[in-house]
Amino acid sequence: MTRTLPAIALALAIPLSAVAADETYVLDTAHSQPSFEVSHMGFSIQHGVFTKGAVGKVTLDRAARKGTIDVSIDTSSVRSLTERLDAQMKGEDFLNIAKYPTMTFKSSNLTFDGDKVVAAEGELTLLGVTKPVTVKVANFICGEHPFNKKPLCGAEVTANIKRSEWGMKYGIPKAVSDEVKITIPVEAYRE
Amino acid sequence: MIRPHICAALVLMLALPLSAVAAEETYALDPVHSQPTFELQHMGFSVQRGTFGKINGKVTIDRAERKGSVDVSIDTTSVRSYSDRLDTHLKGEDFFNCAKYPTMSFKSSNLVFEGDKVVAVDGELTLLGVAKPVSFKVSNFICGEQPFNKRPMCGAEAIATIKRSDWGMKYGVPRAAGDDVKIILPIEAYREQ
Repeated sequence: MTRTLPAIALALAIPLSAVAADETYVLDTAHSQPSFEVSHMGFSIQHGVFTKGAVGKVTLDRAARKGTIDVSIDTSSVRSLTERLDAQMKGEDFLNIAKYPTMTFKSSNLTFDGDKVVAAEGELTLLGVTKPVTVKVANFICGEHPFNKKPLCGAEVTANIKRSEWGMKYGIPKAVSDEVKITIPVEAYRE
Repeated sequence: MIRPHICAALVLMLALPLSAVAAEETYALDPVHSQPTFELQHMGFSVQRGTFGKINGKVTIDRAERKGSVDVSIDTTSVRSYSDRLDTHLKGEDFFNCAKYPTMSFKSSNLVFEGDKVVAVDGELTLLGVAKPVSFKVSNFICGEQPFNKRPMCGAEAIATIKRSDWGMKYGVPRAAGDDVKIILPIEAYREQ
């Protein structure tokens, strides 16, 4: 009896995992709010955030070590240091939200180290311009949410870009740096 | 050929007594560009952030003597995280207890210099009425002229990691929210005339 149980479990598990290897995770937007950092006049590093979070899905096939990312950020949810600066950031000098209400990142090229995602090469679309960006993924972890017990993955995604490559040139280089560091904490529930 | 030497001598004569008198400079924080950020672990799955929108304070620096002081106050009611619901929770008794402790403060009279740059500040953080020692690392310390308004200014980034439970803030430790809190303080401060 006890010998056959593992065999049955194995027999059941193999075809199941072959079919359902591709898992889909949906971002928890409250815990996936992108922040960004820029140098201000060379004197300090200033932070901002997109309060509506990153909306989207990640698929993972950990057996085949591949997957996809498809996320979107509502540019109107930018929040910086002051309401006055927020208004300027939403205008044509920066995010031009009237014309470009979203920015997106898509990737179908995830890099694994063992069973952990450590990087993703993809495309960032901002101000209608699409350019390649490689994001680093740190602290990738999957498990059970300790309270609601749902399967969850978490990570921290970072990337450094030059905003001028997407046509966002206001204030470069004296007022605000061209270089922008993007940090996205990610929590995503398995569907 | 002689004239520059005379000029230099005059400048030197004028500068020496002036610098002896005004060696200690006072800088006032620009509150807009000195908003603290904090980071902590959320259930071990991600690092979440928040900010305080209201801060004020002063820094004195005597660069010749390599000493100075820091006196900063943060309005705890200005805490902002990633949702209004959590902000309300953070302002309550579980966390900052703003009704009883509307401010947190950091004071130091122990600045560590490397050459003419401040690289660390050892002081006391008062939070929830409890004062404990905290050491901030200071990076990118730079002084110069603000490029637009031309006023003398210093900038830096100060970072410290504390255990919030040391100040009695124990809610959610360790499962929901980490005990370790990283505080990141960008600083821009104008020299007072």
